[in-house]
Amino acid sequence: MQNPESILRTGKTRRLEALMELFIRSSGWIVIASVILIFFFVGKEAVPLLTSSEVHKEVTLGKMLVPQRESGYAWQPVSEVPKYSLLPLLIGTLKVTIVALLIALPIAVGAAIFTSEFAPQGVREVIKPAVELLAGIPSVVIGFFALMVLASWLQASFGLLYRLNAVTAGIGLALAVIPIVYTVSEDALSAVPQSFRDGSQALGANTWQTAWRVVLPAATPGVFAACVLGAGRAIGETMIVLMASGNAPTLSLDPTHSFRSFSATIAAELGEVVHGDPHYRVLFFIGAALFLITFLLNLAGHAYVGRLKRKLSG
Amino acid sequence: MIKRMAAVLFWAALGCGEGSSANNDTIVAYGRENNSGTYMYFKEHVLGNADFAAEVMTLPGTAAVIQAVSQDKRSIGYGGIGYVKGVRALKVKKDASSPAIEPSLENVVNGTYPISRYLYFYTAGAPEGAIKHFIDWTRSPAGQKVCWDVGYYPLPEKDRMADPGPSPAGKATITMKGSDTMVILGQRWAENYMRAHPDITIQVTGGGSGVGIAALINSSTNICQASRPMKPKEKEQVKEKQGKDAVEFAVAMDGLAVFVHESSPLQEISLDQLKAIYTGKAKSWSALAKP
Repeated sequence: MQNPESILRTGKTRRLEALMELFIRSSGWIVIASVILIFFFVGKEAVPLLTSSEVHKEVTLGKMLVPQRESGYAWQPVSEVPKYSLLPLLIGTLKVTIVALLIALPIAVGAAIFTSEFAPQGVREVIKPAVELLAGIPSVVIGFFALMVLASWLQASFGLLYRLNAVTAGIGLALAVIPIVYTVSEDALSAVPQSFRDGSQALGANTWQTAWRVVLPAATPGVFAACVLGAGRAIGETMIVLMASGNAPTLSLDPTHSFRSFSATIAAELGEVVHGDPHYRVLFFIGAALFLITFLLNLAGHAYVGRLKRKLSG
Repeated sequence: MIKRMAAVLFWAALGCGEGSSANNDTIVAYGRENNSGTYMYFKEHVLGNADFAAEVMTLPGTAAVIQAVSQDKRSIGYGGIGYVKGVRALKVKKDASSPAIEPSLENVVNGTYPISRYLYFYTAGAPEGAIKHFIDWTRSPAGQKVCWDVGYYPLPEKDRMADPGPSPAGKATITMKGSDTMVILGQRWAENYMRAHPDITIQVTGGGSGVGIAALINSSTNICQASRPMKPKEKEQVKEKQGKDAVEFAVAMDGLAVFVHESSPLQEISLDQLKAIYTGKAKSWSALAKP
């Protein structure tokens, strides 16, 4: 008798399989190659900042990090004496990311818990597509909304001095972050085996206790990964911040003051900069730094998720 | 830092933090991004090349600046005269003793309005044939009329050229790239010119003055449109890459209006006052009023 597998794997089928395998394999390599190539391109444009003596006449890494005698920490790249301190941009980026995450994470994770544990089937079928629709809104539209509507509303309600500030931009940014965090954490919560819930309820726990003490802890690695993804998006998001932040490179920690972020700086300045001059190098350096920050954030998140998983299963 | 921010956020949310006590007297200044020709112009001609204060908020477009100022009683902004709507444009004084000039077309064209600038075309080497003919045409009465019709300001009489006559024979394609401020103007010029000279095709794209200049350096465009003069370094690059000097043509004018919220009592402003606001020396409207 013939082996059933060898009947299936004859002639045409085998060739097709080989072709498919080749296709999938190459897709994988293309993804990896593009990430590496992008990093090389950004890196290549940024490296002269560290090596070229031509660039060093105007700016060095030291000048970007250490306060300067006359200007302190100033970002004034278009000037008689260009000033490239990264501190105002770092403060701005952190400020808006923290505000956005403070708003987005509780809402997104809360909504995910609600949909997976409490909501009746009908409600669930409305909420999930609605949030996914939110993910489909282009960030320029959210930015415009923040600039025109949200800014006026916040200023009128709280009497803020600056219309465009980290709260306005942070709320706009939260709208972009929520769908990502929600979708990934909802998946993680739904993936918790039904037997956990059944067991918990059999022991006399109510739905709330089950959700909070059993399902959420079991899904922590996934929910945490969702939060890390959301943080990455918040740091890198450009358009919303460019439109709603006011882009003033101040050192103020006050979230009701205007700020300037890394990503918005690149977007605003790269278009008109003289190619190859020190300002151009600095912008690419910021791009490489953003790339690295997101990469490290994801790496740390991944490591932490791994540890959590081992802990939970062990 | 997080703790402090959370505290401020909390108090602001309660409506009794630093926010609500915000003094109505504080000046909130808006400007344009440092990639724009407008930024460069303002910095050179109003600030005397001093740096903008870090607190000046910069927005990605004149329309956004106008919108922000129209919503904010304490604010001041500047931008192309053509955009002014829903805000009040101030009369501008060259210095404290000179007369305040209304930002109007006549005053920009006759040169009395103190903050107006040229808009430019650049080519690598002196243009020839169809390109030269087109550039001459834009500076002729016919070209300048288009400029007026689209809402840009024509050149003063002394800078205009006579009509260049019929175009050189044969088909030609001209590419034009650069300033976003000038894209609409460039397109209208191209449409009108092509209608009169069907053998010649003109393609116009934007991207920004810097993008246009980069394209000129790489010889991927015939004409670069720029809302600011080329920097010496960029001119060097043209010379280096192409062995030809960059040639400059002033083709139109643009006036910068300074505007405030419609409810503001302010009627006029001097260049020195503007400088004080945008370099951060004057922080309140009452301080500005004092000599």
